Amino acid sequence: MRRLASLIVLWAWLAPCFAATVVHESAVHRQEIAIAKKLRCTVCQAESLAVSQAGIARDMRKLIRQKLRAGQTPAQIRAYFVKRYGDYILLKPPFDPLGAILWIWPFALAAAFGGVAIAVMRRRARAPMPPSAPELGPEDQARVEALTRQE
Amino acid sequence: MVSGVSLNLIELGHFAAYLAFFVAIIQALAPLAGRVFKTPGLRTLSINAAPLLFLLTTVGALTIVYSLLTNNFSVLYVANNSNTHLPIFYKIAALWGGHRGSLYLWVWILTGYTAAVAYHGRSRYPDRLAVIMAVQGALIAGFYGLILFLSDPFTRVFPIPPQGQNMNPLLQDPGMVIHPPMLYMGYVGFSVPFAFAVTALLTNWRSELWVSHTRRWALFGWGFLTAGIIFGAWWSYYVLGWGGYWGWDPVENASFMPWLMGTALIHSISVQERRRMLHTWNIFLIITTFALSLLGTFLVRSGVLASVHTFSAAPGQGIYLLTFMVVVLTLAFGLFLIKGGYQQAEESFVSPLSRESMFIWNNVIFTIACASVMLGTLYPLFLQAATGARISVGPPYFDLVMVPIFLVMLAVMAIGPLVSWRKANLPKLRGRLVVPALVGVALAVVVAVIWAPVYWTAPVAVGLVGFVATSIVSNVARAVSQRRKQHHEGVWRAFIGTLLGNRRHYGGMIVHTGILVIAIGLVGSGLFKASKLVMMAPGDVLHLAHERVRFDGTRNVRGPDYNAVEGRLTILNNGAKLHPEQRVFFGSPMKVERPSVNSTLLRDVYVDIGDHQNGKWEIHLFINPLVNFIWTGGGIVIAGLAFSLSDYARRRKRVVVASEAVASQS
Repeated sequence: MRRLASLIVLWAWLAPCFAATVVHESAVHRQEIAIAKKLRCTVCQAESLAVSQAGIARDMRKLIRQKLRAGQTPAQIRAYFVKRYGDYILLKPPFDPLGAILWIWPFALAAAFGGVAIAVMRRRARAPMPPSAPELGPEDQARVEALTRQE
Repeated sequence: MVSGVSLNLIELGHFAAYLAFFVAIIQALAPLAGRVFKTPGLRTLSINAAPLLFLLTTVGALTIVYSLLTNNFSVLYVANNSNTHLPIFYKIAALWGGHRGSLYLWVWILTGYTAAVAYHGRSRYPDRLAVIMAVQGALIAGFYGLILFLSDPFTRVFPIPPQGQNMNPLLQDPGMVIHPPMLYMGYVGFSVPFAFAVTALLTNWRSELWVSHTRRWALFGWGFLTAGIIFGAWWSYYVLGWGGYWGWDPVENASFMPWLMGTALIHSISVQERRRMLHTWNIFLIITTFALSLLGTFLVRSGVLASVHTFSAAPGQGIYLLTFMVVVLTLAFGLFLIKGGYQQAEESFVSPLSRESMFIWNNVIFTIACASVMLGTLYPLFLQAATGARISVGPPYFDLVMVPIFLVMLAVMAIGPLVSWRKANLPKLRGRLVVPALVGVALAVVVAVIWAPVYWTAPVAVGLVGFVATSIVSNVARAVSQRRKQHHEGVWRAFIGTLLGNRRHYGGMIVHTGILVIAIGLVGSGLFKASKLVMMAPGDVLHLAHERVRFDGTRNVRGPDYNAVEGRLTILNNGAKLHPEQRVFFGSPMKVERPSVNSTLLRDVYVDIGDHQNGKWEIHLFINPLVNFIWTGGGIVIAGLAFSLSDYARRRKRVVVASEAVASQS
């Protein structure tokens, strides 16, 4: 009885899968999204083609799809867009004379700041500090007097 | 039809705003005038101006809200950002839904902070309060100038249009109602430390006397900025329908940069409190953090950036804001260069391996992170201005550059709190590091094996999270067991007692825990997400990452100010229904996809519906693991911050009690 019940539950659970057509993402769609993620939507602002809901983004995605169906490779498609729109369309700037600084910068900063931090800490750690607090200014003195008078 | 009085009530607000502009100028100049004319009494003017400014600005804000609520389309701002169909909730939020109103919100919050500082300072730092107020007054006057002369929300229009334009449809969401005020509370909050720092530089105010006040204001602003950023991500996720929450959009970066420097600041200030060093560096950090807040405002409000956030803005505003920013920062940094030397550290490093040196590393890394985000955000602008070449710097760049920096941050966070002040005791440190390190390595290996092949950042990040978590737990456990030995208490009592006994430290540890929870969410949703874009007919089923989703068809629905096609989908695994919409708002040609999300602890099923073709609909399905960890982690961060700040309220009470006791004795 229990086995029957569990079978029924299992059937009820699986039935929709058997009854319905299971759709699959086409390879073209998958490649299309992968390419579109790295390209910029040219009219909208700082959004990739994969994300944008603008009309032109839809058209450009369609263009990608057509080119994929026509047998072009992702590299060819990217090259096509770069040729038409320039490097502007690439969301990841290439390592060329214009874009190089973007890739060097974080490392250069790390080296510079890290070096300075180490140098400062080493030097300060060795340098003896004046043992006493600095002299009180006239204003601090006045405050101390005011406080002592209150008590 | 609205009556004449209520139709023209907005003019009262307009008048109040003009009055506030002049009061702010007086506030800024009063201490200077007091000095020039040798009448120190004038200084009180700038202190008393603070509540008045807040009152006047509030009157202005309330008249705008009133005009929005009564559909007074004779006000240009109302006509452009609201209409009769808009729900009341959004009519109020329309105060900051458009460009002009959001600038007004900025200055409103600024006057609020100024009034709060005036109240807070009257007994704590009365001697410098007038100068602090003057600095704030200069900022307020600067912003009022922008508002009244270039982007006036009180401008009238004639003939009166019968109906207003709609509020930007993307902004019609509860998240939107909260996000901008939070963010601005954060941005503007950093103006208070800024005013303190400038005052200190101007009047040779030794930083021992003010830095702990500044720390609390900075923490306060930091908390709001954090909450604002998280609400922004949340809004982006639930509204924009692209399946993500952070796109390295220039405006997101504009809010992230002050957050990074603010984080460096709140860490660095505690070094000064504890070890009496880094005085000059802290002043530099304070000025830089506020500079980045101004930069963020400039980038968003001037229209130089291309972003989903920028609203149309008149070109003059960009120039004005840029000039204002350059003047403020030139003065502040110039002052810093000339007089910063007075704020000398009293002590210094004893050893390169100590808690204070770990804080230095924290500062170094956060500064690098901030500078990298800054270059990525501004470089395309500079390049275009200088050479005309157009390049894009987008998420693929930032992910690649920032993720390793975040991992280093986690590593410092793991080791930092274990190292003792002044000079680390190496054998002791080694002893404390062994267990967390082993836990971290074990977790990393587990992740690498189970989910192989996975991108290298996943095991490293999980390992570091495990490392930090273990070190926090063992830190607390050590303190609890020590307390139990001393006080002979039960575990829970000792635990509570330990936490309450040092709220600042454990509040910080709770914040760190929240950051870890967020990190787990980022790893899960960043590296283990899956998505499919398919065409589905009613009855079709889609499989993705163990989830089975059936498309049941669509129906037309009507909202208060839009028509929509609603997709109906069922998740077969748990029977949950999903209703993504494609909305067309009245008076806007734009189609807006509104996603539907089924959220559990471990994963979100997130779906969008697009156009239809031959009886099939475009369905974009995302499975985003662990997204809830990000929101939960954000909550933990804020809770930890509140716990840490509660120490202050408690101490003040104690001080009051003690001084009363002294008074009654004498």
